[in-house]
Amino acid sequence: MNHADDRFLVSGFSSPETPSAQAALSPMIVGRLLRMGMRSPSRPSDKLIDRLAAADAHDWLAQALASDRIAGAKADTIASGGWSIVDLDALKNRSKALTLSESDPNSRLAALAGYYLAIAAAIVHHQRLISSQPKAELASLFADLGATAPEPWATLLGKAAVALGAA
Amino acid sequence: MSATPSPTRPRRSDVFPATQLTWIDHHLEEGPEGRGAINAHIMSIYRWPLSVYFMGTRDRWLGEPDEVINGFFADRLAKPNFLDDWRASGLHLRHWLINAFCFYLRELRRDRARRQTDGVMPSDEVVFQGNTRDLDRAFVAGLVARALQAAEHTCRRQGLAAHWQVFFDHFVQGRPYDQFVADLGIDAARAVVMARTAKKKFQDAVRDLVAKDHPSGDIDDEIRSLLEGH
Repeated sequence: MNHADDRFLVSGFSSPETPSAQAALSPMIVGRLLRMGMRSPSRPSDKLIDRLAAADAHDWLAQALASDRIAGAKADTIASGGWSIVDLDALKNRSKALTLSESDPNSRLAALAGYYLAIAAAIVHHQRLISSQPKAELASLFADLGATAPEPWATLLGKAAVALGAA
Repeated sequence: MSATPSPTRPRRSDVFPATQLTWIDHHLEEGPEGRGAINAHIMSIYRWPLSVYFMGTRDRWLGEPDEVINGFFADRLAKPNFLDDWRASGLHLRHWLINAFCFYLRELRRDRARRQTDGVMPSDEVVFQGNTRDLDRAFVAGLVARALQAAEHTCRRQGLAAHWQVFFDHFVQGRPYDQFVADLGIDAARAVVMARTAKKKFQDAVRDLVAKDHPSGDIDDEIRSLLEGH
C-alpha cells in the first residue's frame, strides 16, 4: 500500500456539497497549492494594497486621484476610457515623480495609485504597455490591487491583469 | 495541565519568553478547554501521516491503523508534559509525534508479547522503520487539504462563497477562467480579482498550519523545506 503516491482525496475533509469535496489532489497540485503559502518579497505596492483594503478606500482613492498634482478633475474618467494614451503616459510619469519626491507617506501612496492606474488604463483602453516592468509581475500586481480596490478601479485592474495573462 | 498553574511547576510563559508564545502555548494556558482544541487540531492534521507511516512498518499486525492511532493519541495526548516536552525539544511536531509513536509501538509489542508468549520478548527495540518521506508527503497533502477546508470556511463565513468557487475551479481544478466564468455570471477580469481574494485566505490558512507544526521556524523556510521533500 502506498498512500503517498495516491491522489489525496479532499472528500475526506469536506462535506459532500462543497466544491472541495469533488476534488482529488495529485502530488503536483498539492505542491502548487503549498507554494501559494509562501509570501512573495515585499513590494512597494503592498502598502497601497493594504490602504485599499480599508473601509474608507473608495473615498480616499477618489480624493487622492482628484488632486491637481495627480489626475485632477477628470480622475473619475480614467477607468471608463476618457483619457488619451498621451495623457495617461503623462499621468504615469507625474505620479512616478511624486512617489519619489513626496515626504508624506499618504501622498506617496496616492501617487502610487495614480501610477498604476495610468498603466492599467493604457493597457485596457489603448492596448499599450507604458511600463518597462515585466508583464508577469504587473499582471500579478494588478490582480492583487484589483482584489482590494473599490469599483470602478477593481474592474479596470482586473481587465489589465487578464490582458497581461494573469494566472 | 490545570487552569491554575501549580506553585511547584513553572508556567509556560516562564519557560518560553512571552514573545514566542504561540497558538498552542496560549491554548495550553487555557487549561482543559484549550488542551481539547490542541488535541483536536493534532488529531485532524496528523492522523493521516501517522497512518501512512504505520502502514509502512512491520508492526501492521498490531492492529488496524485507526485503532492503533486512536490508542496512541489517547495515551500520549493525555500526558500532561507531552506538549511541553515537544516545545522544549525544538522538533517539528510531526517528527516529535513519530518519535513518540515508535515508542508507543514498542509498548504495544511488549504488551502483546506478555499476553501471547508468556513473557518472551520478540523485539524490544524502538525501531524507526517506516518511511519518513512518505510521512512528510502525507503531512503536506493533509495540510493542504485542511488549509483548503479552512479557507473555504472563512470565505463562506465572510460572504465570499463565489470568490472561493472561482479560486477552486481555477487553482485546484485547473480550469481556465474563460471556461467557467460565464456560468457564474462574471467576466474573466472579475474572476481574476475574486480568485485573488480567496487565494489570500488560503495562503493565510497554509501559513497558520505550518506555523503550528514548528512554531519557532521561519514559515517561508518551512514551506520551502516541505516542497523540497514533496
